[in-house]
Amino acid sequence: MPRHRTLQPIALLTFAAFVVTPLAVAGFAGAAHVTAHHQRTIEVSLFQYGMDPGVIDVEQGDTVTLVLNATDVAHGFFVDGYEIDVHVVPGSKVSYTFEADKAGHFNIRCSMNCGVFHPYMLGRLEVRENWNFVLAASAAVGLTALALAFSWRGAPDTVPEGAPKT
Amino acid sequence: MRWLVNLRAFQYLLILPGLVVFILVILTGIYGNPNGAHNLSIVFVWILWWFFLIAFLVPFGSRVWCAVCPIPAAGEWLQRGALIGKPTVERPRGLGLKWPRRLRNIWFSTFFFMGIAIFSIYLTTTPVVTAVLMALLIGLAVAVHLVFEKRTFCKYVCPVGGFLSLYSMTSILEVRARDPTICEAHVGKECVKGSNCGFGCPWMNYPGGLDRNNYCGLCLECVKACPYDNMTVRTRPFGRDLLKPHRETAEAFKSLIMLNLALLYLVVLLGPNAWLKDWASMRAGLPSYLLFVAIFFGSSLLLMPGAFFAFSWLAKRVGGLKGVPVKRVFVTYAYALVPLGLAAWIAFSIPLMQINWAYIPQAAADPYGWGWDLLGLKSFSWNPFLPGLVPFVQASVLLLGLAYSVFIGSRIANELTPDRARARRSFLPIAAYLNLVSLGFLWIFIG
Amino acid sequence: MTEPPARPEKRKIEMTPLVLITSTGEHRRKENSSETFLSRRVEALALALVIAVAVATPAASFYFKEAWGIPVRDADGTFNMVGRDPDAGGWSSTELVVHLNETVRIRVHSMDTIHGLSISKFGVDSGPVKYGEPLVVEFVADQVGEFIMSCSVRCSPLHGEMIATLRVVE
Repeated sequence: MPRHRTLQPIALLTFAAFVVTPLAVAGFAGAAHVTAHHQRTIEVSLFQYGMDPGVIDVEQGDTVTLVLNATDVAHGFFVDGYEIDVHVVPGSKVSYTFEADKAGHFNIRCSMNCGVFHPYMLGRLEVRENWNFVLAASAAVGLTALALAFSWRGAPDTVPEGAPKT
Repeated sequence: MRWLVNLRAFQYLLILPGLVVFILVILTGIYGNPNGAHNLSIVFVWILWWFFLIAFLVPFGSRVWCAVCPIPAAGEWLQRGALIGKPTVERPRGLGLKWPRRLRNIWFSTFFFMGIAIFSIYLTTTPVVTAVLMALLIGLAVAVHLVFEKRTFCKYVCPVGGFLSLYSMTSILEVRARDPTICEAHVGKECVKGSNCGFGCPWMNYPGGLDRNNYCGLCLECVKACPYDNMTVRTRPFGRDLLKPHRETAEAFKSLIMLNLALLYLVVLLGPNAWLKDWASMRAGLPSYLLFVAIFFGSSLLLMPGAFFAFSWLAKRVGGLKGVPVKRVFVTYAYALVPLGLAAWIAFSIPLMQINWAYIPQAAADPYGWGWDLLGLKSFSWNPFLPGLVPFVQASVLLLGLAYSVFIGSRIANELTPDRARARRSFLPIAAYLNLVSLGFLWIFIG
Repeated sequence: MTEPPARPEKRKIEMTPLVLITSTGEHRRKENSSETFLSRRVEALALALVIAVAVATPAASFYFKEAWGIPVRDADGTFNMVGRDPDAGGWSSTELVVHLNETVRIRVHSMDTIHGLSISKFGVDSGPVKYGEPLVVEFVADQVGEFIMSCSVRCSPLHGEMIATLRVVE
């Protein structure tokens, strides 16, 4: 059997597996929240003029509890895209729990005028997609494709007449 | 349309509303609420004016802001001895000196801009700083108008003029002579000397031979003055001027500096690192502020141009451009960065409007922040518009700019060598540089 | 159906320019001596307009500062307490005087950061007040004397200085 005839299906299958699959799985995972859920509690202090931590890192699907603490004056905690808008006054911590179901990069702003540099009081919420799962899933499909291709590589297209059926 | 432009009072009528707002900016900045979010001077200058300037006026109107800008108005009126003016003989008041030859480029404007920009965090949040700057600019403009000729201030001094000059090259609008052969045969040259109908070009250009937007302020005096009605205002594809073989080191550097500053502002002012902002605002003390200033100037004048110089050297090697000095490659290809730079600034500015648009009607209702409520506009409360889309909008605008930069850059390559294949190859390192810089921006916007 | 007229050939990159100000290319005469006199009148008018605007803007602003601002007391008797950061003026009124057993209504405004009005003696607290969204507190002044009104939301490093007095008289 000429080699190039079996190479094409291998190439196509591998391409489909390793390129299309991760994209599809990522999309599906994002849509169906098929990722590991963790409970995370993060303490965030708000001050003139920033937040600590400046970047909040969580995984998609996590249930996040933010404990917000304004250390000097009244601040607001507004997250683009998640419609979170909480007011925090010094002396009383505010707990806010939400599910990080959307992946991506979300700016956090102070929504209560807290002083002269208030417009620059910014933070960021990063919701990371669970790449481990995506990679594992795509590896699974990719390996399946390779295994099949390997198994079929020498097989003729038709069974010759007279040969015993296996 | 033409009757409107030919009206002598046209420019004056356009300038007058801007002048009213300008006076208000100074008054509210000095006497009004010290909290910038509730003061007209901050809101109308750094949100309203800035956004419309960079996102609409420049790409769609070239330097049309310069036609209505109130800053040179008083100086020009004094110089001409007239507000509207129908000159019979042009005899300007003032010394009418010529600007020094070595400074007839955007270097002065660039350094003036940077000198102001290191105080950005105060300038954009503290009303009195904005007011004082505006008052100083108008005073300086009057002084320059009375010492130097015509619109020397606008052309060579104004801090805004530097980037308006560079980015106006991307615009879709231009003022040009319709038929250059008429100009060639015409001796009178009223567009330069002036006539009964219009002043000679106050920007010291020769309108008949104008081929770039950089120094045309769309005052349309040439349109009024030309006895053949040969000057037109018309559209052309975006960025046409970038292909003109006129290349200046000052403009190349400005292109790199503006690109660098967009990155710097995004990281320092709009990033999540409070300590960086404290450096920029002097809240962390003078030494760290000086470090910030050093980084500001160092990255703008050394790091960014240095990196681009390295890629230009690569471009020369890869393209085999034997007879072309690296400096020429550097200066020529720097113009390819202009669309990306403008896109980066637009992407930077869009969230200002999306998030803080409500401050504008609030400031219109209560310009001084004294508790007024004119026209009942105060009912708008701070309410970001589709904030979740900000990263995507920013990334999309940037990618558009990248695409156009690559497109224009690959055309610019042909200027360096007649050999098309070499030109294409030589552009590849520049395209890589464009992509690297874009990746940096994309990481900040959406990463 | 008839064919639409053939479009002119367009070069690949060029687009037909949209000409906003057309030119005729013809020589035209523009001499007109009577216009000189007209222009002097127009000049004077233009100058007068600019001066008027330059003078009227600050004049009107300061003249109407109080009139268009928030009154100390509304027509219906509600007091207006406008809160600003202590280094920008603090409370708009340093003292409010009311009568014993009077029902006192106070509308609390914030002009910059977040403020609130608290009169601890009467158990009154407006809570945080944002710019453009004033809040009203109401109580009965059932004791004679001088009472402290303070800012109830930490608004600035000088927050503790934001004090006013409520005087209840017979």
